[in-house]
Amino acid sequence: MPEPAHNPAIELHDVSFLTQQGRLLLDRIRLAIAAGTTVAILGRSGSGKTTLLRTVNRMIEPTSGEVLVEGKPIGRGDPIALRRSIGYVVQETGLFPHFRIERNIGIVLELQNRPKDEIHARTRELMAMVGLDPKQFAGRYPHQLSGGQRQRVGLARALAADPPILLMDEPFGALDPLTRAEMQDVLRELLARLNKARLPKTVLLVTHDLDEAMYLASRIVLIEEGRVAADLPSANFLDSEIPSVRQYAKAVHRGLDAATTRQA
Amino acid sequence: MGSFLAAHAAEIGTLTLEHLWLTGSATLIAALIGIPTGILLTRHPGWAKPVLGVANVLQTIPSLALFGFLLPLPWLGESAARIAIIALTAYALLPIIRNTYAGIQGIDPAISDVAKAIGMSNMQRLVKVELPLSAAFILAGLRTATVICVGIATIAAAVGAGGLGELIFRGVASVDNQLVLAGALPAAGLALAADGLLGLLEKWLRVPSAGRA
Repeated sequence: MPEPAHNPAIELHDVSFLTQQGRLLLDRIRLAIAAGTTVAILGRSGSGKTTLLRTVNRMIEPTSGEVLVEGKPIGRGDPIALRRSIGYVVQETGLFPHFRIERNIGIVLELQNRPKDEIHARTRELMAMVGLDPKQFAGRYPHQLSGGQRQRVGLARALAADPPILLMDEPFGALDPLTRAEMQDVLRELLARLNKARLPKTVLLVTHDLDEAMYLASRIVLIEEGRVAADLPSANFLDSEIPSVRQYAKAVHRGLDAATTRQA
Repeated sequence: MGSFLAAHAAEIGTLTLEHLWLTGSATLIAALIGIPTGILLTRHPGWAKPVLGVANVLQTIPSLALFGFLLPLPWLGESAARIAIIALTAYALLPIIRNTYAGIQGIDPAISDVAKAIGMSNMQRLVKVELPLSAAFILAGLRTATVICVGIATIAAAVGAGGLGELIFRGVASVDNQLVLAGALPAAGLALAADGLLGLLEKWLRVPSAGRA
């Protein structure tokens, strides 16, 4: 994917976050995410990657530093308007259990008081986009769907208002490897299609899965104890000599290494 | 037995209606105070312990004593029905506040978090997510409160507030079991009917696979 020469869609200027208990979760993070690109935030549990993601839609207010979305500092605006302009995908728990699929997808439009027919038409369109037959699924409840289907609904909901930015927090974390791979394909194709339709999305993807990061993102930012330990194009990530990168890559591929050694 | 019923049917009817009025208005007032209080407690959890504590203490006061305490108060003391309704409200508060608070607190925090993250205001989160997901819980509190009120309302007759307790007190005083039953049976019937109806409503409100932590 060629990187467009736009202004960065998201910028973090020396963002730090200190919990009330005095733990430093983010330590002077400096990042710029180019518009229309997908960047993976990689790191182990507790490294601060989710905290980082949540500063972008003000679910967390940085203790110091500044976050800019499309060139504007977000700290002064209305957090609710900001959140409605950013798509948000989390693990499968994110759907509302008492809403039917149709309402789950259209909820962001409902919050904006869009007309009912428009919401109806848009939800059908989105369901088709993520590969769910509206006739079959629109009237169901989340618990009547499989994990992969629920994740498709989550993706459709995030895209409903056509936001330029998507924040994804371990979106496929709860899925089995096959469904996970299938969803990664769905997301990749969807982003490519939207890009072609001149509706490019800037995606910030939090994951602990190196493979997922390399498959979906053009750039990988490795976070370690609240700091940026590495910030590399995906293509160069495995060749890096940075110790924490080496360590991460080794931890992921040890199964293959062990099996080959055993065979030899 | 037949002649007894014939002689007292009209009175039993009037007293049952009185009983319903005392119980119904007390539960309604308690709901109007208790549900918002329970919601406020979820927003300021620090207050939960003291507020639930006070409601708990209210509940431990013997009902006859509470009716007695209220008797000499200005305005209130002028009407037995007022005393009865205020006292019954006090008893109904605890289950309503507690269930509203616990019902909302028990929602899977990930769901409330997502509601906020996709851009719901506080009010939208309450109305679209938190209240529907805890409705069955809140209703269960109302149900408990109603049954408690139906029972305690029989004692309100002691301060002259009327209701089915009047037949019971008169029966006890004149050692007339028929009269006691004429008050007790309809009271029990009211409690069972209220419990059953609210139970049905609760079932109907229960969310498909509610998102509870």
